[in-house]
Amino acid sequence: MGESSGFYKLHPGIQKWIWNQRWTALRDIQERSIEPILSADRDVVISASTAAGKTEAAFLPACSRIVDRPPNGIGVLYISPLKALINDQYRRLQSLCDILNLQVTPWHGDVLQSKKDKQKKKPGGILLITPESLESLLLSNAGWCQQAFKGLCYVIVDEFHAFIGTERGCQLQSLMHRIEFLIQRIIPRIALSATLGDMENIAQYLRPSKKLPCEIIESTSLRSDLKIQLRGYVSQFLDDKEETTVIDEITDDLYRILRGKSHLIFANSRAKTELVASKLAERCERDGVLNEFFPHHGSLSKEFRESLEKRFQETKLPTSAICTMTLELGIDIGSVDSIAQVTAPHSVTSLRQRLGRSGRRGDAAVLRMFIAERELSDKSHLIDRLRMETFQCIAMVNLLLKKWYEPPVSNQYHLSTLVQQTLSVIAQYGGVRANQLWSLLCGTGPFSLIDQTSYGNFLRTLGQKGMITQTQDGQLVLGHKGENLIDHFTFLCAFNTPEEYRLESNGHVLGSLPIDKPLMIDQMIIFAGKKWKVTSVDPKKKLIMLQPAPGGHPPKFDGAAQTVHNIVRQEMLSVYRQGTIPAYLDKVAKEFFEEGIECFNALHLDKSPAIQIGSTIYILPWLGDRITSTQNVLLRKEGLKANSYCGIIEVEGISIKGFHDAIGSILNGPKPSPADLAMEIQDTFVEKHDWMLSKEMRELGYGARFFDIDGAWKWMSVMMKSI
Amino acid sequence: MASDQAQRIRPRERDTIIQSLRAGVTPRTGLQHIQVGRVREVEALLKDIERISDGGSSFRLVIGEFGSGKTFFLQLIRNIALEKGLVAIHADLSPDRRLHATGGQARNLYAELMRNISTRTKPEGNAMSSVVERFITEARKQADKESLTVDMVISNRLITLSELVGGYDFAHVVGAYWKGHEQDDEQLKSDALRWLRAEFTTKTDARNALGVRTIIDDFNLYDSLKLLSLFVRQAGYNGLLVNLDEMVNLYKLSNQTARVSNYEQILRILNDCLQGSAQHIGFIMGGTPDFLFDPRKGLYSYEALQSRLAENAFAKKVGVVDYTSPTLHLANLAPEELLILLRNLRHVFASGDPSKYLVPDEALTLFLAHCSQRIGDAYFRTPRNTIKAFVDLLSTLEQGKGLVWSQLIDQVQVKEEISTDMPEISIEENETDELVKFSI
Repeated sequence: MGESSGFYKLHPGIQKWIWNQRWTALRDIQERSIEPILSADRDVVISASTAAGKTEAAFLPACSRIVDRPPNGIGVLYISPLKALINDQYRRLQSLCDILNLQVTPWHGDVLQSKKDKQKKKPGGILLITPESLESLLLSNAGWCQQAFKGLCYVIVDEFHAFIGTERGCQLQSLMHRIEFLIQRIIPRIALSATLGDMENIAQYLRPSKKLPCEIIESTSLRSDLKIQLRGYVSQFLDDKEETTVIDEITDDLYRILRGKSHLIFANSRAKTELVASKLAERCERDGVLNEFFPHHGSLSKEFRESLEKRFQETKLPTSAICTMTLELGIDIGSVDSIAQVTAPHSVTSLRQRLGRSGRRGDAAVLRMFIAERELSDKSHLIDRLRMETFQCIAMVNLLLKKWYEPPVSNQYHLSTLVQQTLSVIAQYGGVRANQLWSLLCGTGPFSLIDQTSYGNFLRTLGQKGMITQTQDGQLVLGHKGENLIDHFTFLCAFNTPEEYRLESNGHVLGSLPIDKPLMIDQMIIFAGKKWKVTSVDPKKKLIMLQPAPGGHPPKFDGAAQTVHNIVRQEMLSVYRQGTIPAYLDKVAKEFFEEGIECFNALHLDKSPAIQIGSTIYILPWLGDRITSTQNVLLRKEGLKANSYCGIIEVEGISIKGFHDAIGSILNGPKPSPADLAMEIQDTFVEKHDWMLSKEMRELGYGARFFDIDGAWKWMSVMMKSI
Repeated sequence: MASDQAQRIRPRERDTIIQSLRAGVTPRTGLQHIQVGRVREVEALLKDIERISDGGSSFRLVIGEFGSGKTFFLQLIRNIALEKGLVAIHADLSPDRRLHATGGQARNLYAELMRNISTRTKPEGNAMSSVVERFITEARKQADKESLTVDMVISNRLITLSELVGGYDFAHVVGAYWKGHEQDDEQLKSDALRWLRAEFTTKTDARNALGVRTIIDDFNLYDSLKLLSLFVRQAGYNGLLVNLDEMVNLYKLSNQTARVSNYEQILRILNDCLQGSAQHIGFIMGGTPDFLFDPRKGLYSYEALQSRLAENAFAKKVGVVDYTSPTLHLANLAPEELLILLRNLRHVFASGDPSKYLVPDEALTLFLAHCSQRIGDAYFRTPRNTIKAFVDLLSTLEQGKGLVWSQLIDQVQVKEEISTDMPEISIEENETDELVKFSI
């Protein structure tokens, strides 16, 4: 420790612990974070890959300070998105805190009441908690919180990247803000994050009010081992029916490769998840071995999911969970050996996050992608011919390696979370006035986009729904329905597991599908290898009525259920342009790659953004789903039969000239607001509490989330000149 | 009580009143000098106090709008009760102080009540030790008179306590105090007082200190109050008056189960008091109309309470107010009454000497007109701030000789009072008043 200057600033107890660990030197980020954290006058973002010692980088100086100057009550509040991670950190911190004689308390749904009671009686030391449990504490034990957090020195947020841009992140911002308001003091925040593209964004997200300066400490040792494989599978497509043999092929490989260790396997829908899980279980049974593959998705009972999570945490049995992609934050599983994707990932951020769960113990992170593409025929759809699923995977991996990640969609309203926070603040204080609520949550809090007028309307809607009422002296209190709502533990969670839509046609249930894209009447969707026209959408029941639609072969891949970012599509374009085969492709995947390049070149897609095949034109903006969805709605408003899959806009029965005229007339018309476009959408209920909002408010939130008018306008202006 | 105007006011009383009013709180003493109106209500409660002294019990809900003077009224009744030889305890309910709870909030309420325990000689609270001391003095007296040992008298007296729920330990603790008294064991005495004030939080501590197996806890709040009422009788007081204010906090509890449990406690107290099974004890609870009437969350949401607390329909029909019903509605002060109040304040300021009045009658009317202009009719609906501003005005006049009242009135700042449980938050910019007057 000779050359380490930071080391000697730490408390002797901590120095002793470091000696006990037999560390020869502090790591780079650990060294650099000592001074900024000890001074406790600024926020700190510590960014490094997994297993780079982020936890110690934050906790060593933080503990040092609270041991040097013991605060009244809890000194460090550590917030983590995962219960599994809390249990893990609890184990890791114990030896350190034993030496320092510091209390560490894990606090989430599965922690023994006796442990919590101990902390309740004598608050102190380090509290490790999930945002949901923290919400619960503020909600029903505000008096205790005020006492316990009075001397709080630091708030440490782990896995901060997982929060950014999400409902849960917004809840976290609000909680941190409410604690500071409760104790009337600003507390330095420390975020531990994976390396993300724009670190300034993270600092901004950590404290939107900018009341403290933020220091960013990025790890200089960027080495993080990653092993990737992309395996291709050919799927037969006969008589308009998908062959099921390909799924058998994939599961055979999954079974062969993955059995015996712990993994997370991601598929795109619940049906697929169940199918893969049951096929894997069949294979276990066939071979007379214990089943170790279990499905994990939103429609499974909580008990089932929890028992699976427990199995991951507590036993040494090899366990693999097959999850839907939409359930990112819902999976409370710590670390696994590898990640498998049975379908293309939808965002680099989520891919990054999944990989973060693999290889935690210092091993390389392993990602295997099992991608099925259709055998080509003369009727094949453009998307199949371009092998877009394969290319999407490659583009995402490229971006991952370049350390680019999707920035959060800015200017989001998060109205659903605002509902939760409004009710929670009312319950916390008992009776609150409207202007105070606004000042706390919107005026100084994370919901800064909401002005007083909108908030007034928002509160009135809550009043109409029986969530809140007003006493005669003007205070807002919870209504009878609001009470019932917050009484249930599910209220604590800001986000919902997204529901899948049930699809019906002529009284037959076709199945279910996750859809996270704007739904309009007469729009086409692809299901079970067929094209269907949407005839009606029931947002309450999450039911879509369909009619079989004639014409053409639909593509197999429609671009994943979630929103794909502009940069991903741009990267796909450059992969097509460059045509270099990545090394991690297997034989079949290489063939796919070559076929895709061949098609790309044959159609001269490099130069022409629009091509005509038969009576249909295909427009390839190579832009993200927010722009193509916007474009799609604009074209439909204009009376065109437009649909978009996988970033490609298809318009039936029109020539390129006609299309040119159409966008000309859109550009000449008035520029709509995102909320105007949202009026065209059948189902604007997206987030958990959206049903408590008025239609106008929902459309406001929906528009901001799904549409990018400026992007679409810019693209159309370019198109006007180029075709 | 305008007739008292001729009476002189002691300087100490005068200063207390002025200080409290300037701070916006109800004075503990001297209320009779400023009390206006509500003669019938005071009479009704005087009868209650008599009944308590005679061994009966009473239960009253005092319902009035925010700022209508409930707290003032409750204080007034408390002061009267102290004069009549009762022991009075009072507390404001809050999220952390309730009648029923499982997380220590009911014990908090009891502890708060005990902190505020007052007698005629110790009207400002913290009179627990003097109550216990008086118990012992009374026992001594009896022992002298009947030539018994003090021990015997005390244990005889305590036997009656032991018969009640939780009485055994209560009696044991009082006995321990006596033992400490005899043996000059200050620690034991203070432990006994701590137990009586519900300051023990664990049974283990209580057992180690006093050898009792129970403590005053969440689930025996009401039983302990009943024991206390009996105990103060033994100590020679006439009974116990329990004032519970800010009952609206129960209405605001966000958990329905918790709220209903609290209402059940109220029902139990009400039944006990009105059926006569409680002795020498009276309850006055202050709350807003929301707390009583709200059909979903108020007391009326609890069927059994609604039927007991419902207004006297017949009295209402014939247009009279039934002052014997368990609910007492405090009407807002009328503007004229507020004028009398200001006159009384002027009187208090002048220590009861009309020749020392700082302002003439004309100034009072002008002052009210000024307030009315500033905050509308809130000036008499929620008079607290009006009173505060007036007292401030008088203080200024008193100190700054040469100042003329007519020049000051226009500069008086009155703010409309708004109620909230949340601390205020200030924002530097863009603040508009749009949501201040928000209504659903």
